[in-house]
Order: sequence, then C-alpha cells, then structure tokens
Amino acid sequence: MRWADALATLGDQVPLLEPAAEGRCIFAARGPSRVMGGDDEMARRLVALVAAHAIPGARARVGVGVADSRFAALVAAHEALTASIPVVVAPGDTPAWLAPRTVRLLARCAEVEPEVVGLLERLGLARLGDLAALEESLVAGRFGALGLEMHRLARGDDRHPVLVVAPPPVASCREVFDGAIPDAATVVAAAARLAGPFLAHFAARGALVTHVAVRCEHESPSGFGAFERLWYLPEGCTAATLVERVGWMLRDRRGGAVTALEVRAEGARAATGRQLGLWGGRSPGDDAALRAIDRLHATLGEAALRVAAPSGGRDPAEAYAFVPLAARGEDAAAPSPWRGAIPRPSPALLAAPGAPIEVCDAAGARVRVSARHEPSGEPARVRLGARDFAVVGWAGPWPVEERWWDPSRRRRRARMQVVVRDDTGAHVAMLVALEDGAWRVAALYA
Amino acid sequence: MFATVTHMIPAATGAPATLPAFPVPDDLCDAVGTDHLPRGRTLHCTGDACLSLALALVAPATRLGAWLAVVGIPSLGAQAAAEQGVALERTIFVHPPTGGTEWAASLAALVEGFDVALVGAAPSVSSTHVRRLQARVQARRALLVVVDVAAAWPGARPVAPWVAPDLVLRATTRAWEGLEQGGGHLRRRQVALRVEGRRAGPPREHLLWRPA
Repeated sequence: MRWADALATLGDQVPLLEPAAEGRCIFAARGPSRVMGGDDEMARRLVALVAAHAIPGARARVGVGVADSRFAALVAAHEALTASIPVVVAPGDTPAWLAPRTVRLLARCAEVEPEVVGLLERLGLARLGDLAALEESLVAGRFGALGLEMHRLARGDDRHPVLVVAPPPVASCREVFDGAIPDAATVVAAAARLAGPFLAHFAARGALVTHVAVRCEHESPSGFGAFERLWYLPEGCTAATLVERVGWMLRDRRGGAVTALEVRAEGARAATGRQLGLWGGRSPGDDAALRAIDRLHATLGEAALRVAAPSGGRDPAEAYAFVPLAARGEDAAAPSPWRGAIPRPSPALLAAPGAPIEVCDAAGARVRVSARHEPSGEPARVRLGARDFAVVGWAGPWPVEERWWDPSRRRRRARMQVVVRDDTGAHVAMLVALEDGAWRVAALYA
Repeated sequence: MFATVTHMIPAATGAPATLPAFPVPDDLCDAVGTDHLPRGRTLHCTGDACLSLALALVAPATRLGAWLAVVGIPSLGAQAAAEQGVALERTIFVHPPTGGTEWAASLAALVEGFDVALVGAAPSVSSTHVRRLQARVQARRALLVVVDVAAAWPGARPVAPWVAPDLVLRATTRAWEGLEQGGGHLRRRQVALRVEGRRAGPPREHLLWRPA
C-alpha cells in the first residue's frame, strides 16, 4: 500500500487530516473518537482499516497514538508501532506520561537537532520530565527561543493545537475550471493564482495562515468526487508552500480530472504583530486615535507605525520588539524575566547599533573581560569620541552567551553598568557591552 | 486560542470620554508645582534624565485611557516605558518622514487623534509650521511633550527648544544608588529637577529620588 492510499483511506474516516511527513499524519481525535465510540475503539478501527487495504504480501505496519499534544501523540504512535497495539494516553495524563521518557525523542519526533539533545543529556537532563521540571526562564536563559520550544514540548503543550473546530469567519478562495483539467501542472498554476489574493486577504489584516485546507473536486467516468487535506504550517503559509502542497496532493491523488480547486484558512495567528487596544467596548478617544492611525497608515505606510510587543531577551533592546500594527491574534503575554536580564530600572534610551566607546582602567589600558568573566582592571575613564569622562561607579561585568552550543553562530559578550560624571556635574549612567574586543554603548539611563 | 481575523478592535478604557487634565505622578507634584497638567500645553524636557522624566509625566494619562504617540524616538526603551507605567497597548511609535513639511503634516495628523505626543528631535521645521502645530495642540486640547534626546549623552550641550514651551523641565542626575565597585546594580537616582517657563513663575529646583 502506498502512503498516499493510506492517507486517502484515513481521509474518508476523519475530517481535516493533516499529513505531517511521509508516513506520518495527525488529526484532531475528539470528533472521530466520539463517533467511533472512544479513543481505544477508534485506534483499533483505524489500524484494521489501513491493514485491510494493505497489498497482500507487503508489510504495512500501523501505529496509532492518542495524546493531548502533537508531540506526545507522535511519541505514542512510535511506541504503538513497536508494541503492535495502539497507545492511548488518557486526557490530562500527557505530561506525566512524557516525564519518564528520554529527551532523545525531541530529535526523533520534534526535529530538534541531535547535538542539542546531546547537550541536554550532558547537562544531566536525560528525561523529558527533568526538562519540564526546570523553570521556564532558566531554559530560556540557557537555550533562548529553542529552549522555550523544547520546554513546551516536554510539558506536553503544543505551539498551535491540532484543530478541533474551525474558527469563525472562514476565508476561502475557489476556482472552478471550464471543463475538467487532466494535467497537474495547470491545477498547480491555478493554485499559484489563488494564493495571491488568498494570502493578501490575511496579510492585509496582519495575520499568518497556520492551517490551510485544500480541496480538489474531480470528475471521472465513475462520477464526481472530492478530496481534501489540511496542512499545518506553523511558520505561516506562503504562496510557495501552498503551491508545493497542492502539487503533493495532485501527485498522490485518486480520481480523475480536476474540476475545481478551493483553498480555505482553518487557522491563523498574528503575523508577529500585536493586537492594538484592549478588550471590548470603545471610547470616543479610542475612535479618534484609530482614525488618526488609519490616516497615517494611508499617508506614511505601514512601516512608519509600530507598537511594542514583549519578546523576551537578556538585553534591554530585546525585551520588547517594535512590530507593525496587526490584526488581532494570539496576544503574547509579557514573558517572565529571562535569567541574565539586567535588573530594573531599565534604560530609557537604547543606543542601537551601539556607539563605539572606550572603557579604560586607571593606567589608560582598555578594560578586558576574561573567560571567567573577570575584568582586567577597574574602569576609571570612559572615552566617547574625542571626550573623556571619569567613571564614578560601575557594576558587572555580566556575561551573555547565545547559541553557545553552535560554534558558527555563537555570540559572546559582556555587559557592564558604568556611571560617568560630566562637566555639568551630571552622573550619567550607561549600559556598555564588550563584544569581539570592542566596547559599545548599549543603552543610556536617560 | 486561534485568531479571528477581523479589523482592529479598539480599546475599552472605562475612562471618561476626555480627561479635563492629565494627572502628574505623586512624586513629581512638588517639583512640577502642580498635580495636573492642563490640556493644550507644550512641555520641553531636557537634561540627562529627560526621557524617564517625560515617560513618567505622560504615564498616568495613558493609564486613564489617553492614547500616546511617540514620534521620532526610535530608540526608546519600551521596557523602561512600561516600568514608568506607560500603557503600551495605547502607545504607537511613529517614524515620520524626515522632510520638514511632511514631518509637520504627520505630527499635525497625530495631534488630531492622540491625546499625548512625545516628540524627539525634529528636522528643521519652519517657525510657521511650529506655530501652527502648537496652535493645533491648543485647539485639540492635546499635550505635546518635546524631549531633547541628545541631552541624554554625557557632556551634551544644551540646545534651544524648537517649540515655544509653556514649561521647561530639566532633569539632571546628581547621584546613583546601588553600585558598588563592580558589585550591585543601578537601583535609583537622585534627580535635580529644575522647572521654569512662562506659566511657572520663578524657576525652582527640587531634589528627588526616582524610582521613589
């Protein structure tokens, strides 16, 4: 049995089947499970169904796993394959079920690089439960965004849940062909045509499509039919990925010439943008501001208007990102402070990309920071352009190492707070950073 | 969990339609000499602590439902703004064109809809444009806070404000608390706040600790 046939067989039984990779597919189990009389019964039936369609003599092994998250379900399905019986994790049990399992599953079932998994093991985190038990900020501090993602997986959470219900206003684009189109290339070209307006509709609202359903209607001497697939695109659907998915579907299709093609968004999220304003209701002041924003949008363009969205990071410049105004989407909550973040108060003026500065000790030599994060001398003078200021106080250095597991992309810098006195008697505080042997002003406590 | 794609849904504020005046933070009342800033005024903030002062002054208004436009300060630390109490969900960061006329037009459009504008360095704008802008601020009963961002750097020379401010506030840091030689971290500062202006009577200077 070909994988495409297996998909087609399953697709007749469960709605919105999501092909994840060759040999793997995922779907929201709640509906089918209810119809088929429970998770265990559903799993048993699906195995029987695929086995019944198997080519006699060919070895077709099927594993069905049911759990609360994509990752856990995939792990369960792998175990089901070995055990030859479906593995069903009861609702709510997913974190506890994952806990004793090895972190290597992150590489096998979640596309985390094996080197990173190796690092986890060397840090003594052999089990997913060890990772989940750590504080989130600690993992973020050590591994950045990847750490948050791994922590989420180990806890049994999904970045986007498998679709259970379609969100309201569904946007779709449909093309009905004049006569049936037998060749795939013409249908793929139609998909490329549809992709433009379809995605523009969402882009204009600052949204990314994360779940797209593609429906092909076809006609053959035996009658009319249709097949539909749901594609999960966590990074957002683009014209290229949409066209590619339609191509895959046509390659694997059953049935005859295509008579109509439809693409439909089943899920979306904000395009790194942030929802403006708050909850419900509105005041006249809000209306006036939004009208002014609309006018400026029209005259200055989107790039000129930004809002601040929490993004998390160790440097003041990374705590918030300035993002375009966006349609409402899942609103990122303010992240818990990252380990290694500079304590409050935060500097009000960020000096990006950082004005060059010289930090010297009493002898006039540049202050360096050793591998053990110790300064070569006490900062005594700061030179900024042609001017020279006396240091009246300093703290640090605080090291930051980013992507330390990857030698080609690692970034190492040391940050220090220095206070200088200028000729007016003002005590000006700065956050300075040493990277690649050069000091820069990172921010001013203006 | 999933996004519903609709147009922007604006804010509920629970505040009166328009605030008659903007409250001054408690710890700044003595220094500023009043507990509220009347609408329609223009303020000029300078000194090395100009930006945190300006953020602190506009924060109470944003918390009561006013909208804030930050104009031409691309390097503003949003984290610091949040710590000063600015409601970031009603704050827009605008990068207007650098041509003087378009810049003035953008600012005028902003003042139409926003209650408070925090404005950094301006390109060279004719005095006619500035007069018109300030007249519009008065007519719309907005609050214009001009920040001399360049004053944040050590050894900065004072520059004349490009607006005709009702109030000039100069915040100079006299001392920082929290640093030991190498240890600790910045905790709070002593600011000398000097306030003068055509509506402020004789100049006066107060020493205060911030954060209080």
